[in-house]
Amino acid sequence: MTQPARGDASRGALLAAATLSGAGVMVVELTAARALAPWFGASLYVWTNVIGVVLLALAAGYWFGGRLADRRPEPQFLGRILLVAAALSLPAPFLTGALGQWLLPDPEAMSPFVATDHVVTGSLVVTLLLFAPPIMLLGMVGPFVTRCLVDTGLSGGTAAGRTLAVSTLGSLGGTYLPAHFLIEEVGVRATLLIASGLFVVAALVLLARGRGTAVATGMLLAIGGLAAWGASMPIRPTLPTADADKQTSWHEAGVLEEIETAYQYVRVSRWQDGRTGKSELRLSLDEGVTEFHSIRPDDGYLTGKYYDHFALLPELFADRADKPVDVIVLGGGAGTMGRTLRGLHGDAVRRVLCVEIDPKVAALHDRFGWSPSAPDAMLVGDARVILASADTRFDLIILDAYAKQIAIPAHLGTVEFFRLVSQRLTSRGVFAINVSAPDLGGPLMRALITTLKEVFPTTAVACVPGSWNVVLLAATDAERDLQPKGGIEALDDVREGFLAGLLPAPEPGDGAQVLLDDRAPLERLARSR
Amino acid sequence: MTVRLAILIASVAVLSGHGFAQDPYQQILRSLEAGKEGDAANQLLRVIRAGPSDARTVLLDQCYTSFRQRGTSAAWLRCLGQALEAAPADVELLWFRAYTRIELKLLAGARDDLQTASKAAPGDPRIRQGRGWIAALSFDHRAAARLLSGIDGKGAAYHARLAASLDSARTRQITGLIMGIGLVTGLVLAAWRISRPSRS
Repeated sequence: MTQPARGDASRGALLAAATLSGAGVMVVELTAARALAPWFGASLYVWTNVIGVVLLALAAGYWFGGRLADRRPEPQFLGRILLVAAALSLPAPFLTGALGQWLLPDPEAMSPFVATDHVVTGSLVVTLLLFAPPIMLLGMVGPFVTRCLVDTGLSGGTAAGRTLAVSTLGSLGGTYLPAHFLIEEVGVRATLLIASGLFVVAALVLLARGRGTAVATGMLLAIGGLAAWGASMPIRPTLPTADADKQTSWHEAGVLEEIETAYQYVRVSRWQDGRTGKSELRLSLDEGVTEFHSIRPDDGYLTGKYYDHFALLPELFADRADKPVDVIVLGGGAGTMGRTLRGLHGDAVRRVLCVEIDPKVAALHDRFGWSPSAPDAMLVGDARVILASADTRFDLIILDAYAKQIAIPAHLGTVEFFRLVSQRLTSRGVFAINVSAPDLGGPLMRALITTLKEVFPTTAVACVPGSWNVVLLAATDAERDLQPKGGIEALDDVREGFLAGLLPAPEPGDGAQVLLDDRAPLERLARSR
Repeated sequence: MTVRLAILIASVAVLSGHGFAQDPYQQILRSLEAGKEGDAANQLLRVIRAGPSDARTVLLDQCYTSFRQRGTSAAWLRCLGQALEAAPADVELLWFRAYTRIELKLLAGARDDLQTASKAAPGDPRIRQGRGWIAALSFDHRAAARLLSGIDGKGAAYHARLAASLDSARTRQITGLIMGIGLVTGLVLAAWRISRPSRS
């Protein structure tokens, strides 16, 4: 029979291993969701899959770890298990993308409105294949360390308590490090490799005087090499386009920059239209690589997208020449709306403030052609918090904030928030929301219109031709005319399209819910038919 | 003098009537510009009641464009609604209203119109085309490809490609899921075997 570990030094090594593996598990869990995000998004479904699979794998690890520890209560054996776990965790940073590409349909077919099934199953498959095996082995660490500590002379209760305490403290560190430092500073791929490194170090601590140290040292060197190699690889390469399609449609011509922020995966790429030769910069987030959250056309201010409809809105103020319009854009991205409004309307717009929650996205405004000078500004923070703290009123409040491609963040689509908006509007003011909705009679539009009508006596919708976007308009003045009246020649075609799609907001009918801070399932409503 | 004035007024009235008979579109346009939606609808109705003709199709198309350009799509829908009350099974009117509703993202109403139209003219390709557009807007690529085939070859091919892409991804996902479950089950079995207490 093998001799169990004995002595204080071994206790320290065992507890250190528990701490490091506890930290590593949390780093893997939190970072796994971010590794999936460029392919499957970061929705509740993806998070649920990651947490569910990790819990399942840990449960299996605890169960069999306990049995194995009773059979072979040797710290060195645990060290070798940790080495295997580290080896199994190494492919994840590199294979997540390849698996994502294999599992998902053509990005064009993956509409955010209907892709839930693909996202749920796809992210589950990747998590099972890449993350479950190492996590299961890491689940064995707790029971193993407890048993080995008992063999050093500690009582069962004390051994279990110490093991749980140090591994939980490790997990605490593993929770904060990726969120506040690692992911933003070194990226998702390197963060996952750091977790693998933690497992190897934990193994080294246990193997200190035994076989396997050479292997462990070699693995650490390999991890360093992989990290260096991985840093030069794109996270999600340029979208493939058939040569024939390149001549006839918009396509991604090249990825210029990929950034991993505390909020999301950010992609700046150049798109080209094969028919006209036009090109533009686009900013995309997470899995929405064919969607855009900011645009900068290479020529002029008009984007040919829904932004142009919002660019018309200062025309709702007939007296704008005498009383320039004060605008705030909630969900400013990299400043497309700010650039367009300022560029097209000049002095008729007194001030444009853009609010963006992600500082790294906001910092891209120069690149996207908007270098605001006072009184214009890009503000970084949560839209609701900034609007609540504003000590001024605005003529035009534009809400263009999105989470998970199609869902307005829940706290920005409620009756409480709309009341705040109405308090921040001037008497001539207009509130405009960009809503992604293929059907005005769908559950999302019905709920939003019902909620808006709770606060605003005047409401209207304008469908943006050829897109899913709808401009939802509201005003506190019951007599407010919501038809833009000409002025800028460059906007003539846009105005015609706007007017063609303009309707009084349809009556939502029975059963439409009022969205409240307490209950605003905007993501579910956006995906419901 | 009074008699002359009466004759003049009568002449203008007759000429106006003659003008209307020759160019109903201009009349409707004038009513619209004057904000008289009801008059525009009545003038449209007079033409609708005369029954299908190429001239009527042209008029509907012109009206459709004018209403849209003036931001009076809601008025246009009301006009069509009134016209349909008088001719509820008129396929052309139903198609125009369905098409307008599709553009305005009022899909449920558009579906109803096409459903009614299909009872009156089951084989009309415009109805199938409208249904194809609705299917495309509802992301039902398979149905869109089927409905648009023979009418809009390019659109049908596009949606068929997307449907095939979704289907093949689904197959790969099921394969991957089986692999994942197999891998985890294999690991559990291996762990169970390795951790089995020795019989000695």
